[in-house]
Amino acid sequence: MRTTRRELAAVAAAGALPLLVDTPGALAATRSEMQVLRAAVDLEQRAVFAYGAAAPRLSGNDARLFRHFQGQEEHHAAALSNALRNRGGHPPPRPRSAREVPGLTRALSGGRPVILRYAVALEERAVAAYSDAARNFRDPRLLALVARIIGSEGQHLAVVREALGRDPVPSASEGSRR
Amino acid sequence: MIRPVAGLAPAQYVRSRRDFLRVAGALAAPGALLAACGGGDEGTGSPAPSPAETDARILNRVLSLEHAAIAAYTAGAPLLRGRALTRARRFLDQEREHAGTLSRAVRDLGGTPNEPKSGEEYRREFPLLRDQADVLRFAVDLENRVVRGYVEALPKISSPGLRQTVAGILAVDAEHVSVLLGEQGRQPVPLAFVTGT
Repeated sequence: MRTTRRELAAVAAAGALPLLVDTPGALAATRSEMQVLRAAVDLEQRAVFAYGAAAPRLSGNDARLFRHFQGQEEHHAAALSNALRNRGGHPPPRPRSAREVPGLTRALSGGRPVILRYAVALEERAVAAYSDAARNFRDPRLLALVARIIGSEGQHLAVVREALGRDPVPSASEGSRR
Repeated sequence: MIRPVAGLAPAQYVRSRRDFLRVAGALAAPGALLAACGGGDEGTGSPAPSPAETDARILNRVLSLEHAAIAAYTAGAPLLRGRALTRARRFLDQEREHAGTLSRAVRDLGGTPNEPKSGEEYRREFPLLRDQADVLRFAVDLENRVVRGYVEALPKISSPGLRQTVAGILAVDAEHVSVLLGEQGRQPVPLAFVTGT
């Protein structure tokens, strides 16, 4: 089951909707591999910040999960940043406050369900972004990196959906535009 | 709905743990895996294939892996119960969708989609499945094989649209791995980079 209209409305009410509509298809819209790569680094750095900020608001397995995901997103950001630097680019600055990550401040004040829905939206957007990148990248090395990361984001998505009591794998394909 | 593999009863999959380990060991070698699934390379000596022909051949390799996953879920489902059975049925349906998508893509490229092997062939290759734990372990192995197939395929596909299709399927098969690991009580997202190994 994908995010329902009701859930979207709830997320929007919590201020997280800009995450979904802020830059839809951002990675596809950019014109060069460097731009796509930079956008991917930005996406991962926001995810690192979001999981790190949200973990202390959660408890038990949820908190451990978010810390674990934060570490994995950090690995993604590092690998993508290296790829960007190897091509002469510069990673974007990391967010330094929740206000720099769309919707995060409101999500953090909404309690566990809102935070988990925010994480689902975050991961759905990441999977969609890497799906777009798979279409737009030409460099086999970047495509290989995308292949290894999109599987990880899909796994995050399945686990967070399950934590919300949703079907962890609701459809046969991920990343379709919604 | 679970449908049996032609000519195959669940008990017929049951052999020995040694067989399981042998098959699991073979999974570590992707070339061997692809060959075992019927997806090996064709002979050489002919003119260089067109991009469409190459894409069709790559998709046929992962299609064979999907066929194997379908056969495995079909064989293992009778040994599952409760939530694990519900999920295996769901995953089986999704693998069938993947196989359908890949078959259509191969045809659209002018190729001929690989057909599933016979039940007897799968029976010879599959490990001993005695209970739910065996089925979950084998399902994780097979899903990882499928994921590895897609990870290796994606950078080699020339069609942007097909790369996107493959990426969307890859994400779902990685999700299957995660859910199955969770069913086994294991860390559901063990690695930051999912390679199917």
